[in-house]
Amino acid sequence: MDLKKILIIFIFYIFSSDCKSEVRIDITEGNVNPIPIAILDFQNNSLEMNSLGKKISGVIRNNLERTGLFTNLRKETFITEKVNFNRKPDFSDWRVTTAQVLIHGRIIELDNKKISLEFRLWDVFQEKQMVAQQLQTNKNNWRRIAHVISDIIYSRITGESGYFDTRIVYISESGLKTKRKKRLAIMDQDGANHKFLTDGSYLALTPRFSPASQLVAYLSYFGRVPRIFLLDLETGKQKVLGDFPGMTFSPRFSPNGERLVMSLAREGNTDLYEMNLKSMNLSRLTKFKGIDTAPSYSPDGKDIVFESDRSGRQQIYTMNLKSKKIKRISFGKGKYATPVWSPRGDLIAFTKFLNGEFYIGVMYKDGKGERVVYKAYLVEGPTWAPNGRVLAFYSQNKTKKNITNPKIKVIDLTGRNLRELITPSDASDPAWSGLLP
Amino acid sequence: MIGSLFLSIIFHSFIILVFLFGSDFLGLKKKIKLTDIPIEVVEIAKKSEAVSKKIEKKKESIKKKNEYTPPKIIEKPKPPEFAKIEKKKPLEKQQKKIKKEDLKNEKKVDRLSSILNTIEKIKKNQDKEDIVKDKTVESKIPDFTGEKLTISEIDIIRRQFIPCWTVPAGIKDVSKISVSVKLKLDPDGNVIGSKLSRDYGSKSRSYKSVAESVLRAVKHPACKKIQVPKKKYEMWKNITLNFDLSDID
Amino acid sequence: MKKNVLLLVLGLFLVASCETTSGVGDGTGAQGYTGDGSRSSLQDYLINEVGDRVYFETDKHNINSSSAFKLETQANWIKSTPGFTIILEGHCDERGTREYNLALGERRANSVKEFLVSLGVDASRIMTVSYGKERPAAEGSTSESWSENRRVVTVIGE
Repeated sequence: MDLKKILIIFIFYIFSSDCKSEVRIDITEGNVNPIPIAILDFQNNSLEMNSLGKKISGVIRNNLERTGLFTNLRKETFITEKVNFNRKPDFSDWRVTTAQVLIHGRIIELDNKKISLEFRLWDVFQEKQMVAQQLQTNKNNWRRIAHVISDIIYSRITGESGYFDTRIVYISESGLKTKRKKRLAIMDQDGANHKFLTDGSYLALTPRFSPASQLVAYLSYFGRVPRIFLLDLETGKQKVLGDFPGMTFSPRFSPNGERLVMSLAREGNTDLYEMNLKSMNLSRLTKFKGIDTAPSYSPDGKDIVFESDRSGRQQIYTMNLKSKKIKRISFGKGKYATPVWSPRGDLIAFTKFLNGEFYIGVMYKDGKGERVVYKAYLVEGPTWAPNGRVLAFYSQNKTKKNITNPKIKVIDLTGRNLRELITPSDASDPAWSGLLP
Repeated sequence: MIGSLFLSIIFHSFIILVFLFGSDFLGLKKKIKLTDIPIEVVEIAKKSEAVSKKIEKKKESIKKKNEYTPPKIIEKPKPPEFAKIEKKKPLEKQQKKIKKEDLKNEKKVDRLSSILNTIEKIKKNQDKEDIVKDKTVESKIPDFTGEKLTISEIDIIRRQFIPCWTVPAGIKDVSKISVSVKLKLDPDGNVIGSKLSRDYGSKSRSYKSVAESVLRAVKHPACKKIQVPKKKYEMWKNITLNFDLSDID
Repeated sequence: MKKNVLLLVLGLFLVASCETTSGVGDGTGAQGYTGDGSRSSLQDYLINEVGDRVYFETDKHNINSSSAFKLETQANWIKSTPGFTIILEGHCDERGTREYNLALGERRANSVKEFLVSLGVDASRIMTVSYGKERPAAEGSTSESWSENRRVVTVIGE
């Protein structure tokens, strides 16, 4: 027996494991299936708390499932439904369920009013804890805590901030097409807590949420004069935004909520104006014979993007607010309208009309990389979720001699995971809030 | 003969030792840890109070400038009860430390077990054929000049990872991100180790979430054992997978 | 293209003003109003005897010749019947975005206003409002409906 030889082999094996002669393989595709997740009901020994815990888990499941990025595993597939909160879960039990992520937690009643929620998020494959947090809130605020937890989970897994703790204002529609009743309404992002904000005795259109506060700007035909109104959701009070000769419409808040850009139509000419909401000073941004409308701020508030027919057809332009320099960015066929800058800053969503069809699309801020996200007989008015990866808009389809009633739809900017938002009646003009403070 | 007996004793005791400690490292004993996992405490309180104050100020300034009487509102919107978010410090950061140690241990075990596998085989052969043992040992020496993997063999390996990887599509700057992970495989094609080529500590959130999706992919149960041309172990025992999203929108 | 439209509008203005100078007093249905001057009776007369609306081409706001003729009748009636104001309501069809249609409706209402003023109607008696695509006259989603909906309607003010 040659000891030397064995030793050489031994040494070789130690070093060979660090040997650099390795294969390099590029993987440029994967599956786009939703990630299987297991969310256990939040537990407590008392019956009341246990059922509240169940409701909270339910809201979280619903939130995550609706993104299309996750799929909830059914309870029946679980080997156990109880995981000791203070112990590492037995991951082999969860791997067999195909869950990639496990969420479990407990709910504790602190006093008559307050509850505390503790939860953990585990990466089942890596056997790694991703999040462990405790949250406290009032009992009647349980839906919001469910949304906050959903945001934490979503954000930890996808790397984007969440958008579940948000609301959507929109226009609720009913009645005949020729005498359509249009009311301002608001709901949670998941359709819960629906409320009407106006009574429908006058037309309400194109609401916009301030990204930084609880203000909503919208076009109201109160007194048969179309003007922009500001509604404070906290006090329920509203007021007209300045008194201008002509019609003000198409409002949009700046990202910090301190300014508002809008259109003012007067004597057949529509131009853009910016108003400082603190000083109420108005400054004119464009002066061109033609229609300049649908302005929207960039996330840093330094530029705006808007549509104009100055070239003879609706196209998209950007303007630097300081230099007032205007640049056309859309050059494609068809009419381009209602551009909306993504809160993430990278993309601009827009409406396009081409060959009798409407499209929702996105393009980079220089106009390149145009991509269609959704197409319908009529679809318009995109609004971004505050994380900049989900879009809402409303759409209508063609029937034989008419069109279907408008409904709000939500879609991932990849064009996947289309969902309809369930509303009490027909719905149009959605506008997403920022993340609630 | 005495020499080989001596060696055999060394090896065996070594194996026993590794099993004793290795099982601990691997958690084979299923010892349940009773350690408290730290929790980040977030009280939903103060933060929003501050915000609503700010909003109030804003409101006042707008009110002053405008005397228009607002139209009647049918249903006043109830503002959400502002959840109050107050962050307390994480109780402890032990968990992280433990994790790191675990990782290190795991690595050690991986290397040792692959060594052991081979040595065991060698040993068996020794016992059976005493005379030809030298030859046997020699034949077990990996073939350095072995054939390279063919393109189709690489493609077979590549395809196996596709279903395991859930693409984090749609995230910001997704087309600019690529994540490399180094895999270590045992002779049967089992993935016994994985490590990111670059740590994501200082990288963007987008990069981090792509990196995590990659780590989940290579630890996916369906990708635990990879179909490989067994003879060419030397060529695939270390594989670098480069997950590239530039073609994915 | 734009120039052509402008020329056409200008030309119509000229034609129209010629006609008014020659046409004043020879009754194009304008002097027949004998109502009580109430808003509803004025509105009825406007709809049934004078004609309360004119139509437009897709995305256009220029007054075509048949519109010019109608508006002339309107202008004569308004001038000869003092004591009320009018609101010009601009409308569009549904094949456009909401914001653009609001602007386009205003543009249409305004071009009618300018036309009426050019015919001698006192500008202070005219108000304009745009309804964009919010108040179609015809229910359907056919090209006939759309052309019926691209209109400016003259309404008696309150």
